[in-house]
Amino acid sequence: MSKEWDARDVNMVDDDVVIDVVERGEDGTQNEFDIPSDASEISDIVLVACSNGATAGKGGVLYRLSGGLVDGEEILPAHGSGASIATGNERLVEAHQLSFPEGEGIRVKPGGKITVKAEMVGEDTGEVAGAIGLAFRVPGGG
Amino acid sequence: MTRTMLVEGELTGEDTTVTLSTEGSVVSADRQVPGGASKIDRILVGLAASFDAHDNAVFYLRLSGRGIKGGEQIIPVAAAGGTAPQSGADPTSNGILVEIKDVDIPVRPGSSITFEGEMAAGDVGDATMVIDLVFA
Repeated sequence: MSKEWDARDVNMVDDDVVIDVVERGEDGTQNEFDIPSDASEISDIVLVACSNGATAGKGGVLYRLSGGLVDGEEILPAHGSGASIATGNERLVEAHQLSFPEGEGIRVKPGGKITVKAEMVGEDTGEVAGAIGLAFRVPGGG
Repeated sequence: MTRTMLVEGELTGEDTTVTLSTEGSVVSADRQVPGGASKIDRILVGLAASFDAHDNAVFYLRLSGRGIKGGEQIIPVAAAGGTAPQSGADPTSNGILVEIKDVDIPVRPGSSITFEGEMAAGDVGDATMVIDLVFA
């Protein structure tokens, strides 16, 4: 088996407001993830987000996946950020990879689409840039 | 079989991909998939941002070219965000090394891979990105 990787990004500006995750860098708006016609499951999810800390406070980020998932909506966290003042908060954070062994991934409907939405939760910490990567397990290999 | 392939370069500008092809003192790195390789097994990415602009952004790794059997692959690897320090105060330094495991991207031995890095969804100034592929 092999994997096909794709991603989307988003910029969040308000807490507790759900926003569509549909951009992909210079490619612009891509809307939903396309599930390959021969994919059986999501094997990996890569999660990352970072606040600019422009507002003192503490908060997190959620990603909601829905659509072409056999077992329904999945919700995942991506980020936590907190600071007592809104200055000097320069930070770089690593993406987190969530991996599933073959046969234990998130089951998908081949040829379908996956909708991803994000929201900043807790307190407003300024603006948050986030991205999510999905790897689909497909037949074939190297 | 040589198992690693490394490129690096500088990212500038929001939502702008940059082709990475240098390897330090080596101006044009060898980007041909080694003979005997069947897939990319792991990816290591080093990244540091200048924060010449105080905003937030995410960073992508893009792999394409004939050396990648399934077409372009895009993986987010990091995110950044920041505000200016108070007057007279020093900002903290930054830098990360992230590993993506069990990548399982099939490759074509002898064919080339195109590496691109991208800062997206915002602009934190410049960033240096180093990408290393580990083949199996």
